[in-house]
Amino acid sequence: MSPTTPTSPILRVEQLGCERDERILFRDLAFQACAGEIWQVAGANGTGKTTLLRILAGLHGFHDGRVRWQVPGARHASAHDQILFLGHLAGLREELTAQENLRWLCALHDQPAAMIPAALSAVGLAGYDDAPVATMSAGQKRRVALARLWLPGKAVWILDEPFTAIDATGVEMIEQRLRKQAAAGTLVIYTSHHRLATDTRQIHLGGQGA
Amino acid sequence: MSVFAATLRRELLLGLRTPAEIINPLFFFVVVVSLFPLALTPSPETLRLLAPGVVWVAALLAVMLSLDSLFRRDEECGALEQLLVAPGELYLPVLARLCAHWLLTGLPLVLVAPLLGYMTYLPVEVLDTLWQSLLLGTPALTVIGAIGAALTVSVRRGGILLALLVLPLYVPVLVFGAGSVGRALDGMEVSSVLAVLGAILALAVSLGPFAVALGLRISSGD
Amino acid sequence: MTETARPVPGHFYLWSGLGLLVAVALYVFWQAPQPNRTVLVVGGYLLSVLFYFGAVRYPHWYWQALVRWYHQLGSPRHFYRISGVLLPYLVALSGGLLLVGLIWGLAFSPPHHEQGNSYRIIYLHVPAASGAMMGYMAMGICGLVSLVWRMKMAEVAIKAIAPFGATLAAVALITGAIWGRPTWGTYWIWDARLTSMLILFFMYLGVMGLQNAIADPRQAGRAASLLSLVGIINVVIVRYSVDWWHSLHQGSSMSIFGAGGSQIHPSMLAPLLISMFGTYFLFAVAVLIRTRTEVLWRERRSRWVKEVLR
Repeated sequence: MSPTTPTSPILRVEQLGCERDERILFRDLAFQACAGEIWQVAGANGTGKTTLLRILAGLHGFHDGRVRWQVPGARHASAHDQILFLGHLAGLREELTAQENLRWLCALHDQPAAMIPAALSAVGLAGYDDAPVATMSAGQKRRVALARLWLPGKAVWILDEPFTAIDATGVEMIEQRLRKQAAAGTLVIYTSHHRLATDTRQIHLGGQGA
Repeated sequence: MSVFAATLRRELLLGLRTPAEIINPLFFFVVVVSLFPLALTPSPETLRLLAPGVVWVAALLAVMLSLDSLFRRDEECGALEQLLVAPGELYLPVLARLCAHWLLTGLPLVLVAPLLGYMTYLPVEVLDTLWQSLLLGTPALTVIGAIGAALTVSVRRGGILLALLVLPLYVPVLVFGAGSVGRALDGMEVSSVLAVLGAILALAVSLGPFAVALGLRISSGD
Repeated sequence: MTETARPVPGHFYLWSGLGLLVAVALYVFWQAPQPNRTVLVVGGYLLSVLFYFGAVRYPHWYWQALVRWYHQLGSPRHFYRISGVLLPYLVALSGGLLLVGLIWGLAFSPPHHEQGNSYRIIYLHVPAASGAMMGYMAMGICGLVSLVWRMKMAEVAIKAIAPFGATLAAVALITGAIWGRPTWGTYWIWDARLTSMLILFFMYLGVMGLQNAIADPRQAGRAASLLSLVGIINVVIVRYSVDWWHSLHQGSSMSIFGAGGSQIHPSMLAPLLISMFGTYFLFAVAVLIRTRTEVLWRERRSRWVKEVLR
């Protein structure tokens, strides 16, 4: 893999197109994203925001065009080991505790399990380590999932509706985290109807294209 | 902790927290086998003749019915997505999850089978072959069925479809499994048949998890 | 392979075609009750000469032809064009072979010394059974191609093969039952080959069921690919396991060929082989027609389809 300077793009999207259920979601989508940038994928409901994120994360393969990752330090061209993907589902089993859920996810994604308690207290869930997820509110469940933002080791964050069910102080806290991490060189791509206060690049889906 | 150990631990924990998932296939197995004397005849001669097939078919159906929930719960909560975006091969986590599933649902069937064999008048010396054939056969059934479960995970109400996909794939295991017990009943040697079952198991365990992983990727839209 | 692909010369196709013809002739003579040594030796010599010129001396021609066919078959537009050219010939070939084979077999070949005229159903039964088997093999190969190279056309082909293969399996089962009535005195018997065919039929139904249950056509295609690839391994194991099961319980197996496999009289074998090849070509015709329709539907928004349908 060629050496990448801080300004050269680590994500190149070329002529990306996808259709679903007989309907074209987007076509000829092209953009380049560099480390340290924050991208918001915007658009009305049903314009393919989630599908775009799933394509970027390598979950959805039925599309035209190309997605190329050049993440420094990635072991494979797919850059799977450098991507943190949080879908609109939290990915937590109700029968397990917050700690147990996160430990499995950490083992799966090569992240340090020792930092889970610190991450949980960072999202305001100190002391909830051993609480079964079934006993938590929707906002708390989302916070458990988002606690992974406080674990190190990923150069790209792909977040699908991270602010859903989160209260105002929580939104503020996550915004700060995203800004801080972007300043440290993480590429953040997220979908939301809520736009971050800082200079956020936008991809508009539906109608006018990118 | 390695991916294999972490996944095995998680699955075993999940199984122990929802004991119904373990107990239901076992109950199903016992109930189905006890229906046969009621449907046919209590006569020992007839039951003994039918017992290998009855026990094997009931075990096969119990394994198959337990598989529908194998990936569905994880798919519904988004954990399957997290598995699929993980770096590295899916082989190990999938193998760990199949191991855990067999330990929780398949192994109890093997343990309770001699009792059911005794209740259907199988001679005591045949019971050894019964549990040995199930010990080799049920893990193969789990792995083969998991391929169908992975392919139907995105299909709502995929239960009947799963049966349609998986039952033809179960034919060789059933033939050799029930056949080995039948041969033991006739007083013939069974080690060669058990060896064939072992070969099928080796094939299933070595290649099956790749197919399951591919099936999961296909179901997620890749 | 170099970047600048040299054109494949016309005589390469001539040689390949000749080689194929010689191979088919050799196969037929091999099946004959008393193989004619002279024909086999001369034919083998001819085949090796053709093979030398084609594959040893100019292997890159084979490679180029393969690459070109692969790319053209993989592109829906080229597939539609090529299959449109091939289709009339295939229809004529299958129709002709089936007419000759069936009329010869049903009306003119001699009656069987034990089974009389009832054996004549093999001219339907055997081609259908072998077509169903070949169909599943073709489906498994398409599955491999679709999974490894992500070739869309292979997914479409699987969708086209499955119903026709299931039909052939059903025809084989029904004709087997009709044949069984005069031979065994019952319509159904758990004969090893009939049982294998029944399971093959179930496996076709499974592929079709999965194909229908998944809404997204690409996802359905890839799921069916994986299932048919797994199924092909299963078909082989089922075959052995059912043979073993059958030998364990010692039933009777119906056979026209006897134990040796080639004891059938040539006057019965020739029409059988002809109707078998006719069925294969009929299979190809049916699959091509279904694939062409499906390709048009999937590519309906592209410009070439609009031009074709104008």
